[in-house]
Amino acid sequence: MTQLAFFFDPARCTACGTCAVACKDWNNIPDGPVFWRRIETTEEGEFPEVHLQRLLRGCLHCARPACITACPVGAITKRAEDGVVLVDQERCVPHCYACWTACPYGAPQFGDDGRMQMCNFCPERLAEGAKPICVAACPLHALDAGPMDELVRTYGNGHWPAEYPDATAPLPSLIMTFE
Amino acid sequence: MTSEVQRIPTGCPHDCGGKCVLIAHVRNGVIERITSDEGEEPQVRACQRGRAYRQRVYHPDRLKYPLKRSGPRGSGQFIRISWDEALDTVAGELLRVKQRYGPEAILCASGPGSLTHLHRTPQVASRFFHMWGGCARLRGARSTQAIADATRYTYGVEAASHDIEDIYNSRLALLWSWNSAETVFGTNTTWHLRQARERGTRMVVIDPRYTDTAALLADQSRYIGIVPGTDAALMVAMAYVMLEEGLADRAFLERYTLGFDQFAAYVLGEADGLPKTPAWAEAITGVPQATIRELARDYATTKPAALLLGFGMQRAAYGEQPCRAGMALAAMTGNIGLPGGSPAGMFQRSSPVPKLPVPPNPVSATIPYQLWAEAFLQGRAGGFETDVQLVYISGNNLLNQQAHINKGRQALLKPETIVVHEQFLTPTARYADIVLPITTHLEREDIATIWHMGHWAIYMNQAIEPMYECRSDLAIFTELAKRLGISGFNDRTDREWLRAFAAEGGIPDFDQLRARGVYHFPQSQPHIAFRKQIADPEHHPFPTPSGKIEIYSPALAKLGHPDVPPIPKYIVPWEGRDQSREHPLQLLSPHGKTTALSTYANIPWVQEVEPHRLWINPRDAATRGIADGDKVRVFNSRGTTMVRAWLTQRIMPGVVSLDHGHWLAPNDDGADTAGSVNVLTRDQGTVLGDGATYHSCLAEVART
Repeated sequence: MTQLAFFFDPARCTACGTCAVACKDWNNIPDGPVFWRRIETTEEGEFPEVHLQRLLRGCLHCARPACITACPVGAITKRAEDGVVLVDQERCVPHCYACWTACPYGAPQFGDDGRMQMCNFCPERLAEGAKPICVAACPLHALDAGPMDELVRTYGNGHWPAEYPDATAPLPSLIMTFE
Repeated sequence: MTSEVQRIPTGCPHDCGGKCVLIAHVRNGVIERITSDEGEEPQVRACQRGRAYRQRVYHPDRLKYPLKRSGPRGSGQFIRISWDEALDTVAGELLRVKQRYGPEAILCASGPGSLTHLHRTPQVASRFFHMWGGCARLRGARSTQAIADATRYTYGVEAASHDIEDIYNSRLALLWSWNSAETVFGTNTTWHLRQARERGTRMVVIDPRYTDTAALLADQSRYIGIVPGTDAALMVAMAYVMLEEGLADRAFLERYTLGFDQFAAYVLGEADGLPKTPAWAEAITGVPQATIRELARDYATTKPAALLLGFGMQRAAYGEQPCRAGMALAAMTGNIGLPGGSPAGMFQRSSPVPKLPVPPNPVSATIPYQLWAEAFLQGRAGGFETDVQLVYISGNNLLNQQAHINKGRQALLKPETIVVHEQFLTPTARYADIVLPITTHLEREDIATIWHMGHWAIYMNQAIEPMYECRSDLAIFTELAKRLGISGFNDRTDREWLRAFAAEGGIPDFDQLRARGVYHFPQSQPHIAFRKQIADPEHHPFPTPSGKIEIYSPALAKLGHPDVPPIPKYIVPWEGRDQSREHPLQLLSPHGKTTALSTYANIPWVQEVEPHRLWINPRDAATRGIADGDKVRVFNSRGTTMVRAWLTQRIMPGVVSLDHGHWLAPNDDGADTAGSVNVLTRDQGTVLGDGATYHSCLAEVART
């Protein structure tokens, strides 16, 4: 089975926010706290010996998604042909948040209607053979996307940093490299 | 009826230094999405600002029709009027003021709101006024005056730089006061820098803040934090190390430069008994002397090495000095005129594509940009060249973006008439008597090229019809020209102008340009400044009076001004580091990632990328009892602004930073509540060209 995945090179990321804005525009997400894609920065050290860590936020389309197990109504599914995790908003129970509690990455988002929404891997773009909008937008080419095995061939297995929650259980579809 | 989505190439041409491709996805005359360049490499990808353009076009606060002031000036009270009434009123006022006071009483204060080739705000207004007998002008560039002056006095030209693609030839790059990751400084500039680093160019970043650029580019432990306003001291101490350790390129200095010995005498302290040692510089700059030595050795012994000067450090008191000192270092290391080097000059290359032509101004009266408010208030009685009675503003948030806003608020009460062209009711537009609503770039047709670092032209097709009753600046001035009997102001359609510009600019196929949206000029090799002067000095002297690189400038010596000495020096800045002062914190007001000048400050998608906040080191916050996220007052004798504090180790202790560009929102007590930093900055120009000095500013911070 093909598993679509993201690649992220935090060393190239400047937290400019282009991915987040492009995602909001493409998916028509109003301004406000809902983000299907964004970057978080953590800071360590003391001036001038400072180090920044860029964290990629958004659904990681895990191989074993905790959200699917947690959802009481089966509204979240994993698409057989490409492994993309999708939510059926009609079935979602508003203001339930079980998926949000289960997800180690804080990916599920909730707008005013209280129903879960998140990254859907830009299906219209996939259909055109284009990469997701966040990937196409990044001015520093810090993002990529594609079938996991192809990404591994290009970038290797990557490395899972300590700043991220545990990856052994859900197996997120994300490869990260570090300098 | 649902039609197909049309993908219309257009662009984002605001004043950030980049010019980027936008693709408007339009259905039934409405923009549904905006994407950017996904075509052939090199792509010209838009950033977070341009990506949010849909929120600019459809913003509920867009100005929709002409307005006439109905309350006191600055109150923001207006009534709707017709275009005929608006144009008749403006034409009448222009005539009245010109007849009564003369053309120099009219100030054309157009700014960089649109930096395209046809609807370029300064160009359109200037063409109109210059064809109509002239007007007073503002002089002195806000962004780059000191480095342009320094480059001219040193090299004889205002701009001296390499194409950014040349960075791949550098073994070492010193990115000094350089934050292209946030300011943009040319689309793809940061992308080229990052790739060069990945391919082995070592990089040092020197800045009072650990910027996103430092995080991206500085090699491990090669970020150097420096006290604002002391860059020249660090450079002079680097020169000291090079002299002491015999690292200066004597052959280069001998052959190509004028007056290095005078500079060396200053550096070694022969003239004033004060050797500019690393220990001397450590006390001033906060940079450890071991770091200074290491930096000097590295720069002097790694060839080729590029010293790239950003603009922040020269928007400061005596901003000419670090630029001239940087150029002296580039000469001492022999890094001029060769691939991978850099003359450390002003970055700019002119585009081959012409702009809307502007005839000369028949009026010579100017007022210094930095002193605009003082000039309004005092006029000829205060020694200025004119008494301004009518201010005509287009594409310029003058009040918000100049230093000392509170003086500016007084000043805008003075002229008899203020006309503003705008897309939104900015703090400046609130003071207008007549406000004319302007189309955004997606509602008109244009060409954009980058003002440095990048050789492409973007065709900005009109994506949608003008919103509401908005018109372009050009259309408005065309109407005014008819009313005032100016012939030949605009006898072409927009398309005809653009077709002519493209042809004259050497773009071979106009229709292909329009269809593709971007044209890359052929470029075989990256441009290297002064290549000929270095390769063949006999036949190609530098364009200076002496034909040499003037480390010692006879012209400056003749000027005899102690604040611009003939050799570069460190001069203690006004409002520099002095913790004994009542307002002891050095306040920086840099370009941030959520605005381009003050454009985009009202666009939510961009604003939520990063909250507008005061950078303060936890050490400074602790002594003031400030916790992260606290609402604080930032204040000095000029004003007060309110904003939330962000405690971060990314800024040097003793320094605070608040991005400029956020729109003034004064409360009843006169304090700004929006973090509009220019209520605090000082309205004093640099010596040579009246450049801005925003970063020489002291303030204090307290919890509210």
